[in-house]
Amino acid sequence: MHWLIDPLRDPFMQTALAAATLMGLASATLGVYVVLRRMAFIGDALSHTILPGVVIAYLNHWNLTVGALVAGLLTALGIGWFSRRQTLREDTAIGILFTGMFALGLLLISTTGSFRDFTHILFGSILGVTRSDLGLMAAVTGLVLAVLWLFDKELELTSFDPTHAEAIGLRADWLRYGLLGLLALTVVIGVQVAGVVLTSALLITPAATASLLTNRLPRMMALSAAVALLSAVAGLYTSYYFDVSLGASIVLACTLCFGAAWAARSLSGRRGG
Amino acid sequence: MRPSLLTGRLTAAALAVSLMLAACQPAASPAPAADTLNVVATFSILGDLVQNVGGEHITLTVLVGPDGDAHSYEPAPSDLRALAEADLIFENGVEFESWLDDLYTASESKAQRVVTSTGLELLEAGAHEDDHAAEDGDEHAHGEHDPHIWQSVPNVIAVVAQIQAGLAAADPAHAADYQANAAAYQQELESLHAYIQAQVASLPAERRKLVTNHDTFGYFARDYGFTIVGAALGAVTTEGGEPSAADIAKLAEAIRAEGVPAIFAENVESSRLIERLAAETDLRVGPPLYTDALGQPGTAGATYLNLMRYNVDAIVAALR
Repeated sequence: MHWLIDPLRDPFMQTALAAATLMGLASATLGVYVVLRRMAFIGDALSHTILPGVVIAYLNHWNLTVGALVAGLLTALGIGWFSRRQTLREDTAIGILFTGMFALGLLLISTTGSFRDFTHILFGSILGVTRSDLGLMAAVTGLVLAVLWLFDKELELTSFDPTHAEAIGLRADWLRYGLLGLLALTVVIGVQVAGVVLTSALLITPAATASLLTNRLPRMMALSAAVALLSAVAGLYTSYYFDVSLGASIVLACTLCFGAAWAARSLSGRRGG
Repeated sequence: MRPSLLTGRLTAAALAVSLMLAACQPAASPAPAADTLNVVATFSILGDLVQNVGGEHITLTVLVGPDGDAHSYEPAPSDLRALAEADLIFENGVEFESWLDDLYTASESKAQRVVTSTGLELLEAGAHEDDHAAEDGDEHAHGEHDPHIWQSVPNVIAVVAQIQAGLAAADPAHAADYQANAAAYQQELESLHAYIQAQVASLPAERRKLVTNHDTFGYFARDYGFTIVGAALGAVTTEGGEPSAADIAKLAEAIRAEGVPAIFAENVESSRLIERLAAETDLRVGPPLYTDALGQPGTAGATYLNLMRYNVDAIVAALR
């Protein structure tokens, strides 16, 4: 059984697994709404829109995480605002704000002369997670799970049938802002701790995998979380035994799960038909 | 569709995959000799210097290997373990390894860190663009410096002294050996320095002009009398983002105005921009220079001494 325990001997592997677990739980459950609402690029987009916030905070010697959070929340608000009452689709609003904010960040960077300081602030690596990062991540994950649990019915209704939800008096707008805010929080913390690709993948792939296997929302969330956790563990072992990047291993494990779900669905569909 | 069955199957399949992956045995890592010092060097060039001074008394791990780009580096678990088990870590400093602090903390390493650029006279990043700097006022208010100190041999002679001091402090029993190794290596560096000076002297002064991919030859230019006309990426890092069409046009104009004979690609980054610049200016692309990393074993740049000889030969041949 040594091979099972060996990867967890190193303290940095324990920290990384804890981080991946926390991120996986928050992202995979939130991700179900991202997939249902067809906002697949929100993770990628939010991870880039924090750039101007980071640069402004850096130039003024403010806390960089706060700068990133403010920029992320502003973007979330903007996406909610432009896509309210279906003036624009959410993916269009995301595309506009993503490129606009990122370009603003690049413009600000060109006044400081170098990109060097920002890439590592922006794009963390999950093997570099420290124990103090874990506290912050646990808080974010707790908040996400609490909100999703408390507003479970409302979120479900506004996602599946916004017109009906509005008709029975639900404030779909507020729920959407709330959801976008949670996404901003999760992505900003996730990107700084684990990097862009892992954050985006955890938000989309487990939820998409789950959506292939069930139509019922609570089950979809549980399955999505299970896929994320399984991928985190499989990624950890792959990374340890092949000595490769942990973030990339977890992403690929997610992708494999998706492929397996797709294959299972196709096979059973053929037999059924 | 029957979700529960599918779920079961999916879980089983995914478990099987993860078990298969996990069952693979780890690559056997060489057991460190009992009484050697565990030493980490952040990148290949520094690693070569450290190995030359440490000799048989150290077990060296290099984080960013040959042809690797330290500006963009993604760690593997073994890198973290090397940090955790290290007695001594040698780093370049000058923000070259901006990822090291996080990894050092995450690995819970207890190692002593030695910043080998300590005491050197550093160049401001982009300092050669005189007109540009004056225009932008406090552009470098954040004190950005050029980290590529190894492109000048006198710098490296000082770095070797730092390495020797670091090793001697961590392992006083072998201090005499470290001193002897450092002295012998510094001797070789002195003759390398003389060789570079002689090669450069064979080049007419008005042809000593460099255009490279990222801004990495500042110290070379300062200490061997070259002018840096510009760098395609316009930054001291390979992460400097895409230059605009206007940037490229401006650089092309400067190249024509200065009569630069040739421009150079590098070993750690794609030469796409340099080739575009060459097409724009009807210039030859010189052979790729070794910039931020050694070459693979067996290539002309496999050691620091050979790398510098190769670079200066290539530069002189292309500009002559």
